[in-house]
Amino acid sequence: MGLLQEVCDEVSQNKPGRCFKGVMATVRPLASHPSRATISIQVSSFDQLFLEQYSRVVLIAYRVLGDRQAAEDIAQEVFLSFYGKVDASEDWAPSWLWAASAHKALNMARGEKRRQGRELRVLPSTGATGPEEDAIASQQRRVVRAALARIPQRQAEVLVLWASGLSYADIAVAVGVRPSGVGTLVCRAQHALRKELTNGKTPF
Amino acid sequence: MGRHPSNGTLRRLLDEPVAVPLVDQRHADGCTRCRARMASTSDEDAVVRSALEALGEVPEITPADEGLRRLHQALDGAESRPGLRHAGPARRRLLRPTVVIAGALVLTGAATAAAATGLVPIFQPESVTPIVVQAGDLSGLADLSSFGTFSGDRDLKVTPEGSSGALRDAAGFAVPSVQPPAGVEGAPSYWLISPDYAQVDISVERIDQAAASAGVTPPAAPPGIDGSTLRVSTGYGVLEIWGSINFPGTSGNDGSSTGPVSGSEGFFGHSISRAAAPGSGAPSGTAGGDSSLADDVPQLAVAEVQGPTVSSSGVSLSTLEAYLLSQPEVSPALAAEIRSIGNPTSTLPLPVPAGAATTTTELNGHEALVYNLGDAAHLVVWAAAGQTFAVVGQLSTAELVEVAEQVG
Repeated sequence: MGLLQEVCDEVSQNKPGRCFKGVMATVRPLASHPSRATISIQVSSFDQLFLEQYSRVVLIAYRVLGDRQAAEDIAQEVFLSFYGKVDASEDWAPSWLWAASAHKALNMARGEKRRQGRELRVLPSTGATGPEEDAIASQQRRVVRAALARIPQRQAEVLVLWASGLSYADIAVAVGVRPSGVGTLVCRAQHALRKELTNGKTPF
Repeated sequence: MGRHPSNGTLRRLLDEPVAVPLVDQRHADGCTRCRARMASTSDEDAVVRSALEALGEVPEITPADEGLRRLHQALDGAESRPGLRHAGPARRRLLRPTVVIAGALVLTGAATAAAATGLVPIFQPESVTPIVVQAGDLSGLADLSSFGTFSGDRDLKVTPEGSSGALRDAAGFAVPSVQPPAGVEGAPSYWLISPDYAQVDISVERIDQAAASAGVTPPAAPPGIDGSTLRVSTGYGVLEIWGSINFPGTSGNDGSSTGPVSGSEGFFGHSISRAAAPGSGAPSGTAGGDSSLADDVPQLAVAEVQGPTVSSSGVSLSTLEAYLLSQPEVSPALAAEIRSIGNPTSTLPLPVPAGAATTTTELNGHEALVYNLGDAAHLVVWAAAGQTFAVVGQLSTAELVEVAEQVG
């Protein structure tokens, strides 16, 4: 059941107090048609931000980890960290979330890397190609994730944000530099990653 | 012709050309050298972009509103636990490694002390010693409330501090200054462990009732023990953590593993017992779950806690010790281990499950216990001058000992 549907159902059952937490629904009968009403729904700025940014925060972590469940756990952790600490209406709130997601995911990946004999998680088969191609693609992804976990964390964060489609302005806010400095960071990070991949004899 | 644009500017020309000043765009178009630089940047970009794009296949993720519901459930759960008010995930998750650290050195020590050699009018840790326990020994030790009326705070309270200075101001002493080994990256986070205590007003009647319900004959209570008070206290603690704290696959049972701790079983069962015998099955009293303890361990954490101290009233140390160690729940082997401690007024007993991978080492003149937590994670615990210290991390013993030596 979608959030809006759930809210509407609860309002229709005259149980606004049980509405989804963070959602305020107000029912106002129309003066001209008392049997009809307007329902206005207000979502808290935090919940609004969550609904807007959850997918992106998950996908940033997913890019690093390649594990949907782990990425969703990271997203939960990011938002819980955010809750009560940062004003959700701040312009830079989304950037905070993106940076935190990349940071936490990379920390997790590095933790995995540290554990000897344990490999980073491999993406499941997409089913779009044959098993051999899937195996090769999985191996490539694993190598790239391992390389990301080896380069300096700040560079890895910049690369993950950049690869996630953030603008230079967004990356600048997320990592705390001027937009004009982002290009240099991306350059260095790309160079570092390519060096890691080349050392690993990766066929890219 | 003007100056050559920086590499960063050329880089941005590839991604956001309209954001680059026109003068730089024109220069890059007309300058042979800059075109070559652009080509090189573009080559590298193609390689890295291709590699990273392969990681971005979009999975089926949980709808945002479901995620939001889960988040609010977590927040509600945190608010319902006194020790976790205003808790974010970091703090909730922190509790498990905190259990590893502070639990091993504070409340577990306190809990065993209740039935162990710490039963002294004044106890202050100057050293640590391992107490070998069998599976079942610890679950057999009832919590403090079975010895009488329990009071105290059963939650371990840990709160984040913004900086080492803030932590120092809050705790009254500074977090140990250490240089983390290579590979431990990022800035540490700082956490304050609040003072804690557990007190039991001993009731012979309750002890007898517990024994009767277990079908055993209680020992005769010596004069003066009924109504006497035993109190185990810890002061402030400081905690410095590198890396985030991850518990893969455990999000669904955080509550059971990080909730309020009662008596000895919560700490012992969940941390030490499982740590000691990874893969060998959980001993009695162990919490459920199949994740390795090492999953709970951050890259590196350093803790220092005041105490624990133990005080009692109304009865002498020797009387109290003899009486409690003769309780049927205390196995003869464990009682013998505890009685064998040379200096019970200053030796903190730490539980070491039989067969556990633990060793001892010397740290700046103090004996330290090293627990192998599995998966290349270790915990080092020692005591000195009334303080108890712990260093834990996903590091080798040698690396952790090197860090511990910096602590002092």
